[in-house]
Amino acid sequence: MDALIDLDDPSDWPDALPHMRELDQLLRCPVCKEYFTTAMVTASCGHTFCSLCVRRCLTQETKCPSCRAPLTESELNPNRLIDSAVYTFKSGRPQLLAELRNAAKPSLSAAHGDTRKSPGEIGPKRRRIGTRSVGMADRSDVSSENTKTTSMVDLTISDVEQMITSDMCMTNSDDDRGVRLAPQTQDAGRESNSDDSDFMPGESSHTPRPRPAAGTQACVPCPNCQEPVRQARINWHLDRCLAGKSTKEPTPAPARKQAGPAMLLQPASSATKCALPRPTKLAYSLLSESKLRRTLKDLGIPTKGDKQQMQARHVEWINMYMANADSMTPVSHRSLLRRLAAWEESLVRPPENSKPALETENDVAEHAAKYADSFTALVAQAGTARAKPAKDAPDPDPLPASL
Amino acid sequence: MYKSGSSAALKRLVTEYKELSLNSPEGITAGPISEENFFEWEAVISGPPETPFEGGVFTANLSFPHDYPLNPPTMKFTCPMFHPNVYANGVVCISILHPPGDDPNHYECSSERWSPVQSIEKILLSVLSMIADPNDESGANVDASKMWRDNREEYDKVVHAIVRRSLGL
Repeated sequence: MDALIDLDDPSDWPDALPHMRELDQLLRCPVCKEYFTTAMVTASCGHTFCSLCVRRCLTQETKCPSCRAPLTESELNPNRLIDSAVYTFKSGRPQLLAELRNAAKPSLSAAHGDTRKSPGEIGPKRRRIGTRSVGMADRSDVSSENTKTTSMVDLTISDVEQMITSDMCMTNSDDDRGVRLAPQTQDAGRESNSDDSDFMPGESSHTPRPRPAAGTQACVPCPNCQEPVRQARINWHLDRCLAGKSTKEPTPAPARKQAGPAMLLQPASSATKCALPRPTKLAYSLLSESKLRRTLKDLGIPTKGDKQQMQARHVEWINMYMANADSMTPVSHRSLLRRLAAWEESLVRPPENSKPALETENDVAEHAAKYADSFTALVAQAGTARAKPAKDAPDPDPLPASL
Repeated sequence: MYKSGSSAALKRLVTEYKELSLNSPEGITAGPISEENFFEWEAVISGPPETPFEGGVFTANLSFPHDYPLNPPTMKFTCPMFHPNVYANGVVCISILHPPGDDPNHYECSSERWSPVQSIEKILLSVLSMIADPNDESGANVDASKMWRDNREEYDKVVHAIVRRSLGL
């Protein structure tokens, strides 16, 4: 709970920077109020939400949560630029806020030190991002010396996406297995049929980006056979070289469809080894409980509970599964199953409810006692005002039993 | 970092609490009754000026479902209230508090109803405007509705009495 209180929000920015507040707000999902996670844009009205958020909303009502225009899940498209913008903004946020706090503090040393520091601060930070991203993306790369010199000015969206991918690989301990698998499997899949020298692990489903020529053509000696190999091909070369296979590079194949924009719409679910079958929507009312249970079993998700619980679980599983497929960094299905379990648990067991609920009851009782004569007076007053209808008319709008 | 059922609800409630406590609209204060449970809130609303409710301070409880913000909270006044759109038991009947796809009254256009992009602040602002300007079509409290429509003087009198009581006079 303590960690939750520390949630960041746009108000972290000082009043003097309304534009930063606004930008911070704009990068947040209007449904969950957090930074976008796998942003999806609606085809018809152009609103953007987290994939999971909007899918959950659409389960309930097939309308855009923002403008209520009719909307279905097939009209959702990934908005990768937002994902990249969120990533970059989130990475720079703490530093920028720290700088702002420092600047606001008029200390003795600051007058001298900060003027020299602030322009310099940007340099090392950028360089650090650069080396980190390259280091991670090419973790399996034997030599990446040349790439390291790539100027950060040349950063493209794909670079950032790559950073996201590689960063997630390192930090997302909960789901690391699935993520780590992803680039490798994709890598292996591509190797066999393409000669995309620009390909880097993690750079999936995006259009080829222009890269500075310096890094691409540079050759490095293979640590095994000492042959000069194009640096971008060193992994491929090493795999074959160590396996004793021919290291001749295949002739460039015509560009294949995997880099096309259509790929953006394809789920990246191939990333996972222990892939569970893709769930499809069901007409629950037409399914018997046992049939639904069998379907859940076939999908690999828990089958406990009654039909209603299974139905709710199945609906949430579809949403989670699809949102994960939309993600640039899909997690393994095992992690997804854990999330499903956590979600279900949170529904069954409301968090720390008992004590405050008691307090509330007491409060209400206290209040009722305190205002008891007010109530009677009110009733009397209302009674006198009411000429003929002696009895209260039945509620025209009976509310749910929860009240 | 992922969003599972109630943790998504909880995070959003915490965020909204922070937002509201930093800059709440005039005449409105709201927050969890206890920081142990963010799903039960108390709101204090001051009667809007230039209405019979002017000067009064009204308390209400907001109770959030565990799939918030997919579904709206319920709101119930915990002080005496006499208003066409508030049930005798204090429950507020206002379109923004009605879940999507469910229109028991068949009079609301869906654009007025709850959507996950709405917020607690918007609910409370709607309640403020409801207090100032009752909707006699919905008529949760039939007596209040009739009195408001047919005998405004009497209605104002009853409301003034409630205002005085809300101040503990």
